[in-house]
Amino acid sequence: MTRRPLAGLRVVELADQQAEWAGKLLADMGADVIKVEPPEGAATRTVGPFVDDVPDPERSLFFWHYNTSKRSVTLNLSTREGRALFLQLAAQADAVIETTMPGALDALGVGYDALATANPRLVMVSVTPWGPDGPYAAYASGDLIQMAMSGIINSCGYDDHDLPPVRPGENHAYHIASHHAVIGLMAALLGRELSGRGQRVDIAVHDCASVCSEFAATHWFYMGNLVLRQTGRHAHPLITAPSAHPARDARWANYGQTFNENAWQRFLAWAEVAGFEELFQQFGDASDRLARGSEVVDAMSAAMAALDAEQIWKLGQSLGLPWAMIRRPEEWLDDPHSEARGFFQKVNQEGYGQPLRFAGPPYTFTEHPGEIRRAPRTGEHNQQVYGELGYSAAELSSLRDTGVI
Amino acid sequence: MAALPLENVRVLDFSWAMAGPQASRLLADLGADVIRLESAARPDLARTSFGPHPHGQGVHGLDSSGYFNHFNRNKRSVTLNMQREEAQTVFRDLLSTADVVLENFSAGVLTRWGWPFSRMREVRPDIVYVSMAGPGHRGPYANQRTFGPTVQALSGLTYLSGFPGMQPAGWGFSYMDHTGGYTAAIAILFALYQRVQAGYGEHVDLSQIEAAITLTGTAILDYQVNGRASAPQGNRSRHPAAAPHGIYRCADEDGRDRWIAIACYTDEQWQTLIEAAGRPAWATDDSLAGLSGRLADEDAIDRALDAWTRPQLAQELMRRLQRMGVPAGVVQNHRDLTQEDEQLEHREMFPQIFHDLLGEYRTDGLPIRLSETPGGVRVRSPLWGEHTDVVLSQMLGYDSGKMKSLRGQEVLA
Repeated sequence: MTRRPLAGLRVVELADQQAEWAGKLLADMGADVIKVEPPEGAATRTVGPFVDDVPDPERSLFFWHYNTSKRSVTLNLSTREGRALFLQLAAQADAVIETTMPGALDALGVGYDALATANPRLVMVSVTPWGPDGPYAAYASGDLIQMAMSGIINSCGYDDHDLPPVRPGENHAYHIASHHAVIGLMAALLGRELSGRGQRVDIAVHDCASVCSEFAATHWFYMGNLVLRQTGRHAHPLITAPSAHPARDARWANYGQTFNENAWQRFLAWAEVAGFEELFQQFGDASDRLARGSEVVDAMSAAMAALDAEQIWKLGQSLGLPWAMIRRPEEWLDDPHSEARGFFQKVNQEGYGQPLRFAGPPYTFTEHPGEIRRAPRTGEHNQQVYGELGYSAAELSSLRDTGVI
Repeated sequence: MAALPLENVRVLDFSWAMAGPQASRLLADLGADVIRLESAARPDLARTSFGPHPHGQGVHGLDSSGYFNHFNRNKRSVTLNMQREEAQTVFRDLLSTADVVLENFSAGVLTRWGWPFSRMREVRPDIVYVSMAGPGHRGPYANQRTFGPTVQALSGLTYLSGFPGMQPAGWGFSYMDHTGGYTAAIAILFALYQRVQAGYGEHVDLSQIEAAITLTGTAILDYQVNGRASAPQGNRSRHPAAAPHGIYRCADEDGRDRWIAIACYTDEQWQTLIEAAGRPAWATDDSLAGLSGRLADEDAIDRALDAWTRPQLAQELMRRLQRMGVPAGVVQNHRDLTQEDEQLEHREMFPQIFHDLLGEYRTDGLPIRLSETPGGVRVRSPLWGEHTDVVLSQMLGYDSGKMKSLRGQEVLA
């Protein structure tokens, strides 16, 4: 069997939707990620969509997506025995990722100090909405709230500013925070090779999302200019030309003029063959085309009026132009590129009768690739994991009866 | 004195524009020695074009861009034209001291320069090589050219962002340059961990399009399981289900439209919200007390909330709602982030960076706080070729004759 890149790395995850993605990224690459759930199951098991739209903790596609390749144990942190189990899990782990509210684990006696006493090599990553302290530390959160407060939503929306700005679909503030959590965790593990000791990693969702804004930051920091949201393209202090255009099939293609002279000549050669030479005779060199930007793009649109969005995308690419189209995510499922790369991995997910294709890791380790394994059932690995800690079947049965696990 | 966690990691960084530099910025902030390899044969768009350039584009040659400074602090710059024959030995010598090679070119560029992974490995057997072309290095689209916005368009991220029935609004910036960078940094750290544990390096073929596809949530599973085509949700949320869940207009300020995000994930939050609104008649209907009733009446609730928020000042309203426990957040712009947001001030998220040619400006801090070995912003971005001499003379031991010869052949340009 191929050794996975993170083989031997053990992580205890006590995380909600803010950082489940972090644990998943580690687990898919071979880390042993033990997801700690309350006895009734993690709250994200109640988030849809569900198989056949029937709500059930073992049918949540949301949980499946964010929890592949992990093991699941249950324990009740409000019991003394549950806290002892958590401490034992952390004592044998390289890292803990947790998303409890600031101070909550300390109050239970299983905060960083207690865990680090048991395991000085432990790396503990705490992901909180706003940070462990400060004026907003107790503010209510949510992905929408974070995306608004970060400045991201201020850049997203339509030319018409009577329409609300738009939160990009899915929970991206949590994706951004999870990515930083993984980077912090791995850096601390590599640092442990130098120091021999673990440390705490403090990740605030608000911090992470607030430094994910590209030009909005540089225009403000360097010029004191705020950006204006614009339909389907970069926010900018000035209004810019559209970059997405409707194609014959009423789908959207991304193209624009080019100031690369070679590429422009290739486009003109195509236009000539396609019978649209006269549309472009009026345009001169790059500076003339720059000055008449919208006319150039209108002429291009006219020349491509008989093409579908996919044809435009591939025409541009055949000419060496970075054109695209707006696709739906599921269109990649049977795309030849995904198939050639083996991007989607078939997973036999319990609770569903046939293999499902999950998006694979986006970084192909060409000799030691990651592997997507199915998400666990609630407490599926209690016996296995607690057995590894030395608990007998009788002891586990008693812990189950008393509501500890 | 604690070392920075990546202090013993050296990265040879061919990357340009933004996605690669975002990756190496994170590594540099955490202590890695990131050496940018740059050439006048293809200068970084972030030096020549992406702005703003506070004193004018090109006023300081290739050192005029604030954008470049923002994404390349803590790094070193060596000029090396890989298309020159003599560059081969310089690169070989650099490689023999390196841990990581990073590039975000289209597929095949390093091979054309004579450095396929197999050859890198001959020089440095445990080298980690991370490429991050949009489509990746393998597959029928491997030669396609992408940049942030088109990665977002192709992946489905753009499609999922907007109001139903309208043109997709997409993302108003290159989210996938940031996130492609995060993903590359993760891949590098995974590969370095593997090297520590197992002793070998590897070529990691990262695809930014694939990275974007993984971030489309449950769309792909829902399509397979329930046959449901993915669709944009505007500002609403079904997973988790919440209502109200939207962005509402506040009083304009300085001629700009202002907005507040409000979400009620629980019935209790809804009760608190309508308390804050003074229990208006429209909100107290029993049918709205539960989530399903609010979901059914979302349009009417959104209209009424919008009318309620419309005359109010966004920051004041947020503070009042948050004091009561309602999830609310201003749609903040960068003035808000740097002048109104008390939490970001408390966290010192936007430190100053001094650049001797450009001046002193704020920049994005490092949002990863390590308790014992904190990284962060240390020095400005490198001037064009600023470290060519120190790296080649001191690190590689080239004598002045060799340096002169390399310069004469325009290898170091």
